[in-house]
Amino acid sequence: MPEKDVSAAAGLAVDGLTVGYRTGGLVLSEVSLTVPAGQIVALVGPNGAGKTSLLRAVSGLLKAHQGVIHKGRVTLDGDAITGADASAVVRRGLAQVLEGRQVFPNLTVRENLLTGAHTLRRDDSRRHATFEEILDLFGVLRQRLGQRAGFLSGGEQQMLAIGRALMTQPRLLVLDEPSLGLAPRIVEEISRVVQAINAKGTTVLLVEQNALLAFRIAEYGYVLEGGRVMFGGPAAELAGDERVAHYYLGGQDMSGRRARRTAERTGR
Amino acid sequence: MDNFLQLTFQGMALGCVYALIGLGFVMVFKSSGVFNFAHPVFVMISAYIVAALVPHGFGWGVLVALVCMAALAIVCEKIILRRLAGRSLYVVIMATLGLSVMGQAVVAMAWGVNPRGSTEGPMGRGVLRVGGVALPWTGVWIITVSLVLLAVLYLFFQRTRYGLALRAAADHHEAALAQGINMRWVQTISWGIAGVLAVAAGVFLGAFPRRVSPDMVDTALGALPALVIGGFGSLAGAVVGGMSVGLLLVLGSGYLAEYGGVHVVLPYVAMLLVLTLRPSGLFGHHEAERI
Amino acid sequence: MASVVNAPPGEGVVAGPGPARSGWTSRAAHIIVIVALLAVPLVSTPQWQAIAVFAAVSAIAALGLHVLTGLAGQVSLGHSAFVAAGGYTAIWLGADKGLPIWVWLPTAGLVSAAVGLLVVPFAARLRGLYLAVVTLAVLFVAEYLWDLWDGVTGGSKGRAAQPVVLFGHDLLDDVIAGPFMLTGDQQFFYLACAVLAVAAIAARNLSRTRTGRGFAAIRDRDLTAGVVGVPVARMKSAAFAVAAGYAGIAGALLVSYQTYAIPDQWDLMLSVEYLAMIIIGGVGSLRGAIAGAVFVTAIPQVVTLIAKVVPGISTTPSAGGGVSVDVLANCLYGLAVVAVLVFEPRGVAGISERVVAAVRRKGRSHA
Repeated sequence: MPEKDVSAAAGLAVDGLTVGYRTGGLVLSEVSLTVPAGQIVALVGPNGAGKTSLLRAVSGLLKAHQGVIHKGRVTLDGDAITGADASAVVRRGLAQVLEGRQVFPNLTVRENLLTGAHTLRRDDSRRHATFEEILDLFGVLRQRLGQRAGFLSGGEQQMLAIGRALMTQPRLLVLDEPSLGLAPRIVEEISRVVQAINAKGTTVLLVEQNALLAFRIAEYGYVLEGGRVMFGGPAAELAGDERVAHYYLGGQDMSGRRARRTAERTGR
Repeated sequence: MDNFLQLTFQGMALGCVYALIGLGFVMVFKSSGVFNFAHPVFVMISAYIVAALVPHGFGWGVLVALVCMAALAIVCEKIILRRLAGRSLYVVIMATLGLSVMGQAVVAMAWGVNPRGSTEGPMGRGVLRVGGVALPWTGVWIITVSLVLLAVLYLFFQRTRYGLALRAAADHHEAALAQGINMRWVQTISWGIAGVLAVAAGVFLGAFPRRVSPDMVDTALGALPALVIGGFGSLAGAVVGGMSVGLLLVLGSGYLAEYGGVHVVLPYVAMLLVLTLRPSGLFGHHEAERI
Repeated sequence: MASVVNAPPGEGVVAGPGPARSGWTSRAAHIIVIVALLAVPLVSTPQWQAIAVFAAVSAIAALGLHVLTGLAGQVSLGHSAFVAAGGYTAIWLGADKGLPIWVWLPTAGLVSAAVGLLVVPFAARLRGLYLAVVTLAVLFVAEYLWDLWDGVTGGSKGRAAQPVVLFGHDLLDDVIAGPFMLTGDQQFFYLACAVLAVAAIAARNLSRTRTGRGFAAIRDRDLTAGVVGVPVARMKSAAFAVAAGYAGIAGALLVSYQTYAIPDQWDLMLSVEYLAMIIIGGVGSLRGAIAGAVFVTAIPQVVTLIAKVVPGISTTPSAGGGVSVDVLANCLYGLAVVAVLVFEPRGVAGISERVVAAVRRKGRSHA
């Protein structure tokens, strides 16, 4: 069970969230977790545990997938955002990087980034400053500003997706499996960037199947399985916890797991 | 030769109208996933409204038509089509066809089934003589105004943040949501633009053969083969497809008159050919300027 | 439950199209419903007899769409073209060649099915919207051909159709035997019902075969079906051929009953009407398709009755506008389609299930 000693005043708090889809049964039941402001919190769990559904419920994308929040509350810095529209959630300062990057393939890199500025008020200087900051963070994007995003490599697309989310100037950045399908060198770079973003004051909720990576850079972690939170605790403890290893890591080869997962996805 | 040039000019004018109608279909489809089979009825209703109000002033007619189209689009979208989001294709097709049937019935109640007037208004019935070629002023107006509308639309998509939001929404719906783009606005704007395009197309179609009649629905449906020929979803594709259909129709009626109404089916035959050779349409691979 | 099983037969009439009940009571209820429906034209006015014939014939065409859309999930806007193909085949064989109904009726179905296979090169490669637009192209091309091909169709003025002659008796001639009289409409109704019954049983059995399960596979998951080994292209072709076959048989009967055929009648509106039948009836429900056919066919007559009570509705079509029966009927059935899609996607079939459930709940609470 998650420990509830963390103050819920600032950051994201999910309380007793129960979620289902119109087509099927429940995918989350009574999920509670907190992401305190300024921290990196990791959420790990196997395929089908409900990680993506949890993110959808938080970010307002659930409706687009015919999903319903049956019970529970989501608050961001104390304000209720349960069931709010995606655009309202983004305006409140929560930005999500979707699983599998999902850049706008036919828009240029510059245009992809500018979609993130859509929610900002017409404060051009601030927007410009953010734009430059992001290009400093991801140098490779600067050379590709005029290219269509669909032609970028996987790693570049992931950076673009993160940069695009940062353009909304979020206080909380939610990343859904940023390491998925990327080479180890790129994964290292991404985790470095995530830490850099966090160091500048942005709270991060990192959802990963790659638990080792996630627990390494996070301060706190949760293990989600079968739509429930099985464990929660400081990331360092979880990484060394035998129960977590038994429940989730299972000594399995991560790359094998990922290959199977990719196969399942293409089948859908 | 003069005859050919004259027909080509007319075909291009009609092609512009088909490009406008086709873009009306595409705008709504890309933003809300609804393929609006009632769009031809929107075009027809606009033409009837303008034709009815021409005696009181062409400008009034266009204004009233714009207001009516906006109201109609809002009613259709907010009350009916939004509830069908995510349902299967035939549901959306049938719902919009149902609306189309209702719309045609309402027009028949209001204005009957006989042709009613024309919408040429200030475009006039004169001709512009260039050498031996007589170009009707309506055609000149249609091509000019259509090109201006298309240019404005292009600038809107490329240069404004709402245009960018629309392109983003069409490119990747969920990512657009995740970026905080307000889909209600995107859809409202798309329906609004489709309504404006329907009014323009209605006015032009009602001025072109100088006749506003219930047949306009079938005529406007010709934008479907145009879209398939040009490839869904690009401004350039819509223009190329529209031009192909316009030219086929006019040149067909000019040169193949002895085969009855064969020109009416030429766009469909061309579409089937294109589908056989290039299922993605002539511009299907070319994804620049997507909307 | 006991009170339901022993329900009086009268209740069975209400419960007709509901979920099947076990044992002989269910079969008895069905037989009572069917007999009651069959008896309707015996006691009704000539107008309603004509409606009954049109409804039965349309139901055959609607069953074709039930197979295509309800079972296989494909959209066709060209159904009326296939109805026409059957109609003109029958006219050619029956009226021009003088062949009997035993020849022209099945041949009309076969020829139309063959015409339906013309869609196959496209159906195999295209999905969804593109396929719908292709069927629209088929419709417009066919409409042009009917106009052009005046040797068979009589051109735009139309032509007379073949009569149904059974054992030397023209079915549309009244039969008078002592005090009893069977009008031509009534006789034609029973013929149409017999064909409809065969068509319905065939459609029901089809849905239970391997092909039927293949249809369900391409309806639910077009792309995945191919992956798991369902021959998607062949299934789509089969669905289009079967649908066109049903349409052809309906067309043969339709022109024969009308006694004429004009090219203008095979338009997009007619296709939309057939689609409306299966939508209003409830997509995927065989009985719904028949109920929808009755509903859509009956609307004009119902509106005529309403026009007698409500002032301001003219009973004759007027070219100059105004509220007349035919446009009001069109408006109502468009409205019905939209309303069903928005409020009760399972159509009449869904509504009747709800009614049955409500009746049962009431019965239980009284028991």
